[in-house]
Amino acid sequence: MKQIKAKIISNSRIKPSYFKMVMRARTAGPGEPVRAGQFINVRVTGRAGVLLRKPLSIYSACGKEHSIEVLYKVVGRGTEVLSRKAGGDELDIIAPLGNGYELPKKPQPVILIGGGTGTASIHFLAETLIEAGFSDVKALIGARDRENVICEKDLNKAGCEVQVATDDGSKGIRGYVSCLFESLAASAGPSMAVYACGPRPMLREVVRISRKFKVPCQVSLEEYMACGVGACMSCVVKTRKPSGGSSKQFVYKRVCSEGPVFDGSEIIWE
Amino acid sequence: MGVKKGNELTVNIGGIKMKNPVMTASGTFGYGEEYSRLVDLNKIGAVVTKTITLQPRQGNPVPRLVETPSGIINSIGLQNVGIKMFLKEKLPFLIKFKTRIIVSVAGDKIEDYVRLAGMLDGEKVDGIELNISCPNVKGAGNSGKRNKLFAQDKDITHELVSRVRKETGLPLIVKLTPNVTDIAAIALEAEAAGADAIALVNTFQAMAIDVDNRKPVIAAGSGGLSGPAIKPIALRMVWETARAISIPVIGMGGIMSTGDALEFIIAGASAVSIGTGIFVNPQLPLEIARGIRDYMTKNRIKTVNEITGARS
Repeated sequence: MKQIKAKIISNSRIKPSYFKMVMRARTAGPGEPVRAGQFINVRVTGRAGVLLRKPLSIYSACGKEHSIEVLYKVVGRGTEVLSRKAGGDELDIIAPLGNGYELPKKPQPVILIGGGTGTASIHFLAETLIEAGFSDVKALIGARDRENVICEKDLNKAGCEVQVATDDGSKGIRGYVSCLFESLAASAGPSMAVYACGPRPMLREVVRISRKFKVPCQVSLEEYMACGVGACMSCVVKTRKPSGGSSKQFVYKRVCSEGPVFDGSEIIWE
Repeated sequence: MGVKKGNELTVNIGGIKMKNPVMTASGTFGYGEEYSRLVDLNKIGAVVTKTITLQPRQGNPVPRLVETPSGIINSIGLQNVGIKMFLKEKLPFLIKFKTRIIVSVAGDKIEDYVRLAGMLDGEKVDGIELNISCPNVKGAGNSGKRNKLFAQDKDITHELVSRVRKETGLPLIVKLTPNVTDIAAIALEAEAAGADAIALVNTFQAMAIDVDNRKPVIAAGSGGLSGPAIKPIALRMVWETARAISIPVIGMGGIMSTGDALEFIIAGASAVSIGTGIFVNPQLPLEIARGIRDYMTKNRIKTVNEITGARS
C-alpha cells in the first residue's frame, strides 16, 4: 500500500455512464504486486465540497508497465469529477488496497459471477486465472439492462466463456444472473470454484446456491468507506464468529482491510 | 523560553512535550498501525488513538457513514478492541515510534473512566484524552436522560474530571462537544476539576435522509458531522474557549490546510488535530507541520506560542 501520483494515460467512455481509466503509477522502489480483487482509493480534486476518496476496484494491472486500469460507473459527484479527467492529468491514489481473491489451489473449473459494476473486479480475476493456467473459466454477467452490461468483450478476449442475464431481457437471458449460475452449477458437478462480485442480494443468492451444491465461493463486497486502510471502522460487515453459533453472535469485519473478498459462508446477510 | 534553533515547532500541551503542534484526531487514525505504511508516525506531534472502552465494543449497525457537502457524518459507535487488548496488542506497536501517545477513553459511567485511567497509569503512554463527547453511543452521561453526553453538563463534567484526576498523574485532556449552548463554561469546569488541556471540537450532531426510501442514511438515524463544513463554527468555539481558560487548547474541526491550522492557532489553540483531513490526504499532518514551520520562518516567529491566541 502506497500513496502515489499516478498519471492518467486514458479515460474513455465505454458506455453512456461507464468509463475506463488507464493510469501509470510509478513508485520509487519496486512496485507492490497487485492482486485481483484489490482496489485503489482515488483522491477527487477539482470540485468544491467533494471530500472523500473514491474506492475503485482494479480492472486490470501490469506490474512491468506499472499500469493500473479501473472501470467505473458515474454514480455521484466524485465519479462525475473523475469522468472529466483526461490523459496527462495526475491523480493521487492509494494502492493497492484490500486482500484480493484467493486462487484455487488445484486446477479446476471456475465460475465467475459479476453483477453491475462488480463485473470489473471479476475481469481482473479472469485475466489472472487464465494467466495462471486455469483453462475452464466461465463468466456470468448480470445487469439491469443492456446498457449496464459491461466487460463482455474483454472477458471473451481474456479467454472466458461468457453468458449474460438482464432483468429486462434486453441482452442475454431474461432474469437474474444467479439463475444462470444455478443451472450451470447443477450440470457442472461439485469440483469447481465460484467467485462473485456485485450487489448484496445477488451475492446472497450466489452463496446460497454454492452451499446447496457444496462448492467453495468467495465474494467481494462494497460498503461506504472513508479511510480505506482499516482505521475508521466505517465499512464493516457482519461475519460469523469463527466458533460458529447463531447469527446473533457476529463480528464486524472491515471491508477495506479484512476484505473486500470474504469466504461466502462467513458473511451474515441482512 | 529558551528554544534551540530548529526546535521552534515544539509545544508543551499540559505536560506533553511534542515535537510539533500537529496531532491526529481520535477515531480517524485507528491505533496508528493502520496508517503506518503510508505515514511516518515519527513526524507527527502526537497520535491520539481510537477511543478505548473497558470492554471491546461492536459499534453501531451500517451504514455508519455518509458524505455530505464539505463534510462527512459518521456514527461508528466506538467500535474498539477494549483496554486489555489495546494494552496487549496495539500499544506495543505504537511505542516503537518517536511520537507522543495519547489514549482516548470513554465509558458509560464515570466509574468506567476512573478505571480506564487507573489501568493506563504506569503504562508507556504520554497522556489520556477523556472522550466525554461522543454523540454516537446511547446511554452515555450519568444524568439518566438518554443520549445526553457527559460534556453537555457542567456538574457531571466537573465530577468526572476530578474523579479521574485522583486516579492518575498522566496529563489529562478533556474533549468537549460543540453541541452545547456555552462551550467555554464547560471548559472552565474541566479546568477547575484538574484537566491539563482541553480538546475541541468533537462532531456536530447531524443527519442525512435518503428521499427514495424516506429513511435516514445512517442506520443509527443521526451521527456526527466533521470536515470543512464545521470549520468556521469550530474556530469560533476555540476562540471563545481559549479566552476563557488558562490551560492549553487543542483545536480541531475541518482542518484541511496549513492556513486552516494557523487560523485555529491564532484563535487560541496551542496545538491542532487533523481528523477527516487524514482520510482525504494521509500526509496532511506532516504537510501542515512543515507549513507551520515555513510560516514561522517567513514571519520571523520563534515559537508556536508566540502566535497562539495572537489575534489582533
